[in-house]
Amino acid sequence: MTDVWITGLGVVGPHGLGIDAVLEAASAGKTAFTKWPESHAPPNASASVGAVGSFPKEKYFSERQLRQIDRVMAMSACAAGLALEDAALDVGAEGDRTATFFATSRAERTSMLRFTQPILEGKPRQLNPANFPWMARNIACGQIAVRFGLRGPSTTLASGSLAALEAVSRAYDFVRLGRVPIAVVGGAEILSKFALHMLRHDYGDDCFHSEPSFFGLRPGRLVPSEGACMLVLESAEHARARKAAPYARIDGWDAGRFGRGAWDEGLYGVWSRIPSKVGGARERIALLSVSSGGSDRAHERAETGALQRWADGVPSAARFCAPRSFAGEGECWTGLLQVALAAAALRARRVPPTWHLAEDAAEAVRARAGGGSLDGASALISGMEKNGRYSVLHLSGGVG
Amino acid sequence: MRKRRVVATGLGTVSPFGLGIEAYWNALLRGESAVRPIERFDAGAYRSRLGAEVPRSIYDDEALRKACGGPAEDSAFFMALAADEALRDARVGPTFTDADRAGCVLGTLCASAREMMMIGRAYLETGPAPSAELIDSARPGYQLQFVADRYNLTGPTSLVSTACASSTDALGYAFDLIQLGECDRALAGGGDVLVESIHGGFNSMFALTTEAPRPFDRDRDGFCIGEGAGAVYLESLDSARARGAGIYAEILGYGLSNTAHHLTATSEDGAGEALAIRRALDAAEISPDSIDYINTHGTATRYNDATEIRAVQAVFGSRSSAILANSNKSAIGHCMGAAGALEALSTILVLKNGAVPPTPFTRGNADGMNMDMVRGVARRRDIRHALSQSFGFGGACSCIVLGRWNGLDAKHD
Repeated sequence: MTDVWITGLGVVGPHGLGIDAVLEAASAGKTAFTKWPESHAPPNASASVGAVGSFPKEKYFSERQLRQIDRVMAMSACAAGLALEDAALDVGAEGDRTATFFATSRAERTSMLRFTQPILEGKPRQLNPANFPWMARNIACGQIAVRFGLRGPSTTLASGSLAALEAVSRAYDFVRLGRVPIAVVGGAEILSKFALHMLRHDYGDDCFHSEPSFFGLRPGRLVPSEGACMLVLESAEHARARKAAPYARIDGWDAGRFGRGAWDEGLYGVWSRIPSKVGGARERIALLSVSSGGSDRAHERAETGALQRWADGVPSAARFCAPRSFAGEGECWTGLLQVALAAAALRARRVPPTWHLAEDAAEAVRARAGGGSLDGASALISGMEKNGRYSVLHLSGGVG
Repeated sequence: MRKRRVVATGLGTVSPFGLGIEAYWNALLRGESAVRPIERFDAGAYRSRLGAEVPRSIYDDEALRKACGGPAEDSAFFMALAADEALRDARVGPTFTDADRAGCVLGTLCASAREMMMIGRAYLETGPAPSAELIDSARPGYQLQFVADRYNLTGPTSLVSTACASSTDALGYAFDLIQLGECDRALAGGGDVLVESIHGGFNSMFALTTEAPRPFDRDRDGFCIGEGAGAVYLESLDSARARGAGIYAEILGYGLSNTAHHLTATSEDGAGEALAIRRALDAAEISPDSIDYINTHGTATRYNDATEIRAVQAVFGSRSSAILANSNKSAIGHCMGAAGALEALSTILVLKNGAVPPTPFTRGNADGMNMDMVRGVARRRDIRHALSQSFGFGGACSCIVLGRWNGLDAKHD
């Protein structure tokens, strides 16, 4: 068994490149949301999206290669490249010992429509075989492996938004158990006209409210988002040997699905238990990062209730943060951003504020959601879905 | 850290041979094939019109679908049928308590593809807005959610989508969850469906046969797509013993790799595939000499089979010829994301029954063919350790090692 460190972060998102761009923009109150394109049937006049502008895909692919891959593959590989560079890690001869774990909830939709369009138009003989593989959810993971020569264990999880934390947990186990010394793990989602069409119906009424609303009891607006976020995990021994500077250590995880009981109580129970499961203490939690997307879906209500319980019942100075308040509802990509942001915050000992706090947010919660310096060494990253599934990671800073 | 031993105590399936393990195993043993012209959609526009569909008597049985909780998507229907049988077979459930913390890991490739096409068609034709139910069932995670809700699975749950390696990977993931103590019991496997977009895709790549799938035959010309679901109820050995469960087999280890070679083509030298095999053997703590039988990926495409032969040669060397081998894909088609689960079921039954089903249509005479391909009739043999191999798009490789249950405290007899 070995300690597992996060040594590299790669972000391609609406704020630009790198975790610092997210931290700086979020700290300055810049959400990076833009108007939902008029051509893409916005649900209302105030609807917005978190869209990625240009990113340096040419750094990783030739023009010819770029013609053979789709946007999610390019974005994911770019984020992986940034993470490896951030870790100052040249995988090189260690490709066979480097795992590639990936998560996505909806990245394949655009390419799926593109490939199947001839069938839908009654012209199946015009199917383009070059576009067919893009329908596979693991194709971005495969592209990362091909681009960087990674032949270690490889998988793609697609259970929903939580696949992000599941991928990190599984990669953590692979490194912890000594199966590999390095894992590149991350996730991506993309937007397109068709993706927005589906999200508009998927999110339903939550697209139609005037503003996002965090930690309250009233509904708010979801802001669909795209991006890619990749992490480099390393065994402590491997990282030490090359004098890597870690962001944080992953201490452990917990996951499950709430059955018939009260979810907020259940989630609070998970948050309370996991520190002791990994040898920590809940009083030392400095940051609680949650997956709320800005409305009042079942999991958001549960998180709000659990945060309230934590604020009232745990004698700690933990700050609360909902990264989706400045990055949008990006499902797996923002699930990974939660982890990256917590790791970076532990190293910087500061966390940005949660934006769009609900007017009816409890004062005790509001007081902890304003961002600022962190008092303590550990963070909980909590993810939940509206079907009751949850996943929680425990990180610690001050390592290395 | 002490790892816990993990055993399979319940099996279930719906396959192109029909409902249930007995129908599946008996048809495999007899060397039957369910490959037929596709009925579910008009395949007339395609070069290949062959598939292996779940029988219409099951697919169209609304009462059966309702009895399964009325899933809105077909792979979830198939998975529920398989899971119902696996839980009955294991004598657990059908629903669990919150405190049981039963886990679940499923694998799929094509689940919800038909629903995505329905939404896509309406979108292109600016038709009516999709219903909330259709949107919900178009999520790849729908199958997992449906199964988790149906049996009240409150442990760790996830869905793997590594193309044709998905459900082998899912079995490995569930094995890890139990082995590492995250839960005591888990439902593992996966369901997948034969849909036009996937048939059209493989057809456009000239990967589908126009006659019959002939794995490892010199004149092979591809596979046909199958569908169905396979479910395995896994639990810790301690749990199985405590409740006096019947044990089919032991899960000994699994291995993953990425070929990092090409997004659709298998590697030329089989090196990436061999890595997954070696990792599975290492995890199982057995040597290549211990493998008696391989359930091959055996797609019957020209390049895939050639690569698989090289991978087996790289790991097993001259001993390859002593290893019995078959492929289920000429019997039930290539069940895509569910293929690994259905093949693991077959492998478990080989271990349990000491008989290896034959591979229909093939002469097993591919260039360089090194394994002892079982053809014609089933071969009786005492199999102690078996390997099931799955390889897919995106360079995904997943292999799992299963051991005959020896009833002993020692892992290997």
